[in-house]
Amino acid sequence: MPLPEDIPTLILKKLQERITPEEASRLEAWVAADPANHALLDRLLDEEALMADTKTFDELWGSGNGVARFDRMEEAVLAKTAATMAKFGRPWLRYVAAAAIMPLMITAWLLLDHHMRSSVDQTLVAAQIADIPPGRNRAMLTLPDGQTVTLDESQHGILVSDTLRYADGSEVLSAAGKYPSSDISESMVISVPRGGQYQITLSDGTNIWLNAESTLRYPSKFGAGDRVVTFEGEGYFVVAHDSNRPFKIVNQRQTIEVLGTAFNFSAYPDESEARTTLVAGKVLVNYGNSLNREYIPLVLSPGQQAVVNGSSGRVETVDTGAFTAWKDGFFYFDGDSPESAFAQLGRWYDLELVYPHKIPNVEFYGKIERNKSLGAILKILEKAGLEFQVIPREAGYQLIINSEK
Amino acid sequence: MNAGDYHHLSLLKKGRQQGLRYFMQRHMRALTYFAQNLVNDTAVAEEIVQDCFVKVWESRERFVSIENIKAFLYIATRNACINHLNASATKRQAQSEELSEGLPIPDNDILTRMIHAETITRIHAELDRLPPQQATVFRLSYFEGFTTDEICRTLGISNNAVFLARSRATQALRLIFKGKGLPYLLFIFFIF
Repeated sequence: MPLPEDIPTLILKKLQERITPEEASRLEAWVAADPANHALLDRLLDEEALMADTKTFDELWGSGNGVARFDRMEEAVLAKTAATMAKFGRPWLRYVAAAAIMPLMITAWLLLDHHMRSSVDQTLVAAQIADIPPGRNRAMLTLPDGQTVTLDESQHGILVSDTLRYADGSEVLSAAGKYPSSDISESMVISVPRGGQYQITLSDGTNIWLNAESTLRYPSKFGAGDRVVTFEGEGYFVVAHDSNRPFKIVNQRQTIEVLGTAFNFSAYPDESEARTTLVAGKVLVNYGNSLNREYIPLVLSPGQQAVVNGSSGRVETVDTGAFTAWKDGFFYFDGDSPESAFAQLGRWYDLELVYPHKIPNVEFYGKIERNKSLGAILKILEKAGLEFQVIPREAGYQLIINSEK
Repeated sequence: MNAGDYHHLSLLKKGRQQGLRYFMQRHMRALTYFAQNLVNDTAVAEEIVQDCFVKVWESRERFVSIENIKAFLYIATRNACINHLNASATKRQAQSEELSEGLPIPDNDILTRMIHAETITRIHAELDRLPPQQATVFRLSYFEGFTTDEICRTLGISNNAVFLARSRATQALRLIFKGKGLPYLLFIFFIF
């Protein structure tokens, strides 16, 4: 019987729509040669039938069941052929050989088994080392006189009014007189380190969630004109509506102008793209050359995102939930590249990221709670075929991301 | 014929079981599926395929190429299946005089059936390459037609504790089963 060339390969390529014209004509020739071939190709290209056939195959060979079946069948064949083998030559020699080999095989098996187990143990140890806690409520306040105050980690936010209070109403500054008096406006800075998050309500009622590694400079009191803050990092802004006093966020790369609205603003200096994602209201993003003040405006409607990269900007329609999930305590990946996903992890767990090989070619989807330890997160990512090493550094940890297994 | 094929063929011919195991590893899954499609009885298919490998062993001196072995395996399996069907058809005839069930198998069918079995084997190999959770989700969503919610409930996890990623193997399956939709569902990893 003549065996055909590798038709299954051609069919697979056709199914995946990556068949070359030359291969397609070879497949066509094969189809034309026999009506049975034609019928077969039709069957394989029918997705319902293909699914049913794959399911039948899977019932035979899928998962643990299939492994057991294969072992059983192989054993049966080996038992029968071993008996045949003993019929030839000197049977006693075979038995002696078998008897001599058995302990060897068992030793080899034990060695192999032990080797595999110990590599598993190493992964577990690595996971324990990697049991780095997630970020928490952390922030530092810089007063107009340059004095710094570490904010209470048991509190989640502060409220700016005549005095400065925590969300539960307690005073932030115990010693009186440090805080600017209510009739002058002075510049204050709240900064959240890597591995931190904090919330602030400004004097106008605007609420801002600050993500890790973010800095907000704001006035202790807004005047009659525009409400202006400067910001770097990532924040979710719910701006109090005031049509007479537009709210402006000034950033190295752009200025965001709003009246009253909710949006997420992400502009990390180490990321090439800055994103403004509008949840509700209306936002004007001005980007461009700040030197000669040649700004280009982008107007956003809810569900839209402005992406600014250097001197270019564009508007995209997005699932805003993916960009605001962090403030509700989630990582939310929606086709994120490893760079983007790991940058988020790096900021939250305070990790230095190292890619010794090329960056793995995967996309991330899904939602993970941010309150998990790093070990738990890495365990999940390991199931995606990624390998990690965590190395303690003087401050924090280094996460080495190896390519796909 | 690559070096590994040649090496194992010569091992087989020398009477070493390692050579036989190599060919079982290569052909036993597709062959059993091929037999199962003919006889529609898993236990019978298993037995037929085992016997055919024993026949390969007994005739090992005859083979000059791995294609030889493959052709021999499929022909021997097909013949054994036909014998089984004829035998059981005769039995049925004797028992109840019902003639209609005997299945004629056209001769040129063997090659296309072999290609079919091998193609399905290759597609299934992609499924085998998935990490266990992904494979489970694939089975539930594709084979059982479960929705995301049903899968989450079946696996006892909450809907928002889901993480998924796409790798090369999953991409291959996505391309093959594109019409089924549910692109995200396919490749889910669960936190538990």
